[in-house]
Amino acid sequence: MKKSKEEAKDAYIFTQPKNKDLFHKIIHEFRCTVCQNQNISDSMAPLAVDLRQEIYYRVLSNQSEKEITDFVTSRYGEFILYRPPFHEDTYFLWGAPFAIFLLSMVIFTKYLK
Amino acid sequence: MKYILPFAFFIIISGFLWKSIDRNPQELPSVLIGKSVPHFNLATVEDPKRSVNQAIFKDRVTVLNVWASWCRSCKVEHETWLELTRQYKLFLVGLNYHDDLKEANLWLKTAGNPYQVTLLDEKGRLGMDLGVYGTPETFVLDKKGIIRYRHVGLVDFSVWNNTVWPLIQSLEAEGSSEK
Repeated sequence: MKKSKEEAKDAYIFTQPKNKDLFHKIIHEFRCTVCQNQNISDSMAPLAVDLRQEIYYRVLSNQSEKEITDFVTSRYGEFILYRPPFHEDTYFLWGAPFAIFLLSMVIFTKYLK
Repeated sequence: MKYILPFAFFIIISGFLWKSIDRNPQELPSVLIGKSVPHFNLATVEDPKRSVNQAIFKDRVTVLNVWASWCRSCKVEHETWLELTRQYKLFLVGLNYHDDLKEANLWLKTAGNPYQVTLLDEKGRLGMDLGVYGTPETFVLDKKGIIRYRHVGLVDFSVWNNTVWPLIQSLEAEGSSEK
């Protein structure tokens, strides 16, 4: 626990801007499972620090976004993703806003008439 | 007629909220159930010169408990493990997660050591491979070293009696019927 504060100041150095962008993109898209309302970029939890480090190494070794996402979700599950993929379990999650929008449009046009 | 839509909306929203009341957001579904325990090579807390790997999980049902000396609820759970290992014949393996070797050793010496062996995972490498996000966590592995159960948080006597022990018994039986 006490380690996290020192490590939170960690600076990640990149020689290639594309790696830097990828790193920052990824750490903003993963939820910290310990403190669920933070992403792993903002979190000081030891687990988030570990994951940042791990992702940093993986970005440096030129892994793709998909490879890194697969690494993390195969351990922590899709819950860690702020934008979970579209499949059976998430039809409702992704579909509901559109369904509600369509429904309200129908009601709205009926109301206008 | 005018009120049907808002009422339906209210019912749907209430339904979702009602369903969520009993849910614990800290309990995440584990993706590792049914998968082999990750490969590792770690020293042990009891003897840092000795190194062990996933082969120790072969041919017996294992209870793998993730703990750390900085983790307060682990200390509460520790009492339970001491009592359980007195009552049952268990292969209980500790995974000392993100800890200091000295602190871990001190804790085992003063509080008692229920573990057959405790893996030393200072960097949290195996913890990460197991998807550990909150200590204490407990895994049950079958005789092939496949993860069959995971519990995040304290294992108490009710969890033990209702879930963990029946599972261990069925896993023990599983292997012998195959032979």
